[in-house]
Amino acid sequence: MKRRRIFHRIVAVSLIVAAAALVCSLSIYYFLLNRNFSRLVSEEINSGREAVRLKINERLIRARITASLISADPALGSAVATRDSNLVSNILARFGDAELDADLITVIDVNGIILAQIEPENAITGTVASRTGEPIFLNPLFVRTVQKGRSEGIELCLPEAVCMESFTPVAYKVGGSEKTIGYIRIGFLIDNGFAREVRLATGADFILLRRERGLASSLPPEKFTASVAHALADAVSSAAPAPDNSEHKLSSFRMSGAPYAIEPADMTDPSDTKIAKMVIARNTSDIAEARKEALRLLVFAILFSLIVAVTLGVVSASRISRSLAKLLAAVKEITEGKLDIRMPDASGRGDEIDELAGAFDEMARSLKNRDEQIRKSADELRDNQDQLIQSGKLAAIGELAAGVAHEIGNPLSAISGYAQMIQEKITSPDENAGFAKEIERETEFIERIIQDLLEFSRPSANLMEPSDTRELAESAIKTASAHKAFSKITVERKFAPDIPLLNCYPKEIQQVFLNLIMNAAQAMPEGGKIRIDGQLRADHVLYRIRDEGPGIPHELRNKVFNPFFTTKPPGVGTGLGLAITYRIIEKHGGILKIEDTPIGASLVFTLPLPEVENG
Amino acid sequence: MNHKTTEYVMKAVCAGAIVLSLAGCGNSREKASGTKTAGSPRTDPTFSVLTREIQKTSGSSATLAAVRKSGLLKVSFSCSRPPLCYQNKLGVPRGFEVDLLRQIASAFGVKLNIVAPGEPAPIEGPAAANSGVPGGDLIPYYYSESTGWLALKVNGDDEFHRGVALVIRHLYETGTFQQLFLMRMGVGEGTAGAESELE
Repeated sequence: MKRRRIFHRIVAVSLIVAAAALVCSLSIYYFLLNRNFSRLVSEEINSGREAVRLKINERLIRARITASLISADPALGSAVATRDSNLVSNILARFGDAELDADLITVIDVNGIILAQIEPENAITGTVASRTGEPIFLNPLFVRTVQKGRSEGIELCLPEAVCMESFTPVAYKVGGSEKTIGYIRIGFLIDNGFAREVRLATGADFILLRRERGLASSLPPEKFTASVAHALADAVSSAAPAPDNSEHKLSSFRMSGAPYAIEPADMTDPSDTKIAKMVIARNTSDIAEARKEALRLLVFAILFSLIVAVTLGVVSASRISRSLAKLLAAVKEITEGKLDIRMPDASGRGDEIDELAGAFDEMARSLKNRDEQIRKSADELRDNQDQLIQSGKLAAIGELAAGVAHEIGNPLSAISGYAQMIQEKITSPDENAGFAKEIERETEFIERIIQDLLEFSRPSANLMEPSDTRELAESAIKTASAHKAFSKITVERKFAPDIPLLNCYPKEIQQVFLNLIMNAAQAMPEGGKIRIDGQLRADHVLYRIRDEGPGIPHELRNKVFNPFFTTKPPGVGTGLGLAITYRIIEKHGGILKIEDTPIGASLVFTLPLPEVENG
Repeated sequence: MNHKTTEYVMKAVCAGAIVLSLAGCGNSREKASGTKTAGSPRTDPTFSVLTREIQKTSGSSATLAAVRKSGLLKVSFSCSRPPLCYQNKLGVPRGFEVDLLRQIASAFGVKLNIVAPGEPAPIEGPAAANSGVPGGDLIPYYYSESTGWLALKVNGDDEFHRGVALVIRHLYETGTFQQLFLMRMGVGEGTAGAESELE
């Protein structure tokens, strides 16, 4: 399960990383693409704006030329001077026939009243519109012309029509001096034709709006309906008004189903009155299409890369997780003790997994080495321990031998005395026979002592056998009692009668008794009593050996079981007795400890009852 | 027969009504030239545009607020320049200037009240601006070589001034100004209408 979790995590991480990287890079790409698109659009719109400006300038120049041409006509001069609107109309009609380069021709008298005017619809038919008598003096271009003599610009020339116009004063010689007698206005309408010209030149659409109505548009009339114009005017006026002369602001607008980027700008007359809104629009459907195409490609790229990332992630994650699983299995086997396990596929890819496998093998090998070492040391230790026990035993025997020397000395001197008496032949054969009997008895006594020592010093058999621990205790007491330290010691035994046979190394247990009894005896050089209890407990047998000596100080209790620790004077003890005892008891699965007691020392050891009941 | 006649009459009446309504919906400016309804601001389709623009230009003008509160646009000027301004037989001021001022007043939604020259009023006129084009508080409305510029002098705040200028400009741009001018100056088709107005 854990393995799957790692697998999932790796896959998820690779997915997230891939997705994040993709989304970041693609959104940057998309952002740049979009910026280029908008730059393209704004460049086209800029060129559209520039084209409008150039075309207006060009029209104004043409208007000026035409105005000069007409004003140079001497017939017109006299007609204007006499304010004969009929004559002026006739003259204009003649110009109209000549297909003058103008949409609007107006002749104005000196008071700013129209004498005659050819309007765009008349220009085709050549007739003169009847605007005679209408004032034009509030016209800002007229005002400027009166002030400055000549002017041109954009203004509202007819109700709801915007023209590019040039005003030229008409001078006439009156009494030798030239005098302004009127003005000529030549205008070009900003109409659909103008808009289409802009579109032809730049590709950008041109729309002129005034009061929610479209005055001119390069769009086909069936597309640019009144409602579209109304909606566009709303969009334009609701757009935040750009601060004067600031960077033109592009916004988007949908006209008859197609998206447009639009840039509105105010068209002002010479008196700075806003007369119309000029909108330069660029059909962005191709760009929208390109953007959609790019988006489609990007989405495809994202999907493709994600699939690749997921596949790679799954493959590498499953590889890792497979290796980990193998490792886990190997670790489990090692836990179970099979140190010979080796990672099977050092694949040679040289990656971390490979290194890990190598390290694992190394670890297993070193574990195995160490295990062998430990086993060896344990064996050595056991050997050492056995040797220790044996040498401790020998030391104890040495000590015992020294101790029992006088025991042997007494019968030996008796034997020697009896032998001398027999050699001196002063005694009767009966007496000799009695001496020989005595000698035999003493020899038997010595033999028994030696037998005991030999018996004790013999290395124990390597087999556990059911033994009567009470007998072992008795035999230890007997062996010990030959020691001279025992001369003033009495032993009190109290063995429970139901103590069963215990499975043990009898020689070692006997040595335990002997060591503990000897210790107790040596603790009481002035003599005393040793009490030995044997009790049957629930799952073990407990022996307690108590003396009436000075006891064991508390601070030494931790040390007394250490080998070669002794409180006796040099030469008296080996310091091995209790250490060996401790190890023997431990080996048998029992416990040796020092008990608190008011007088002397009390050592207690337990031996476990055999698991299967026997005799 | 009888039934059929009734049906024809009904049809005729309906057709007439339709024709009349269509005529009413037509360009009032074209229709209006030479009739009494000339320049009536209520029939001007761009009048709502004008109202909106006035609100934008002079919405917070204190002078305009005061004018609207009183319901009267006071104008103090002498009326002795026929046909720009003259008094009819009853001594009532008539003429192009009066028409123009009435249009301005109705654009502000009030009635025109002409008072004697010298009395305090938001608009004084006409003020002559012989030296070139009027500026400052003068709004031009008439020009001739002989008189130069005639202008309305507007007292009060700038917004009110801009509002008055806006109305005049609107009238000019929509052609109403020209109609009034033609009618009152006795030129062209407007003459008959002007005569009838003169009584």
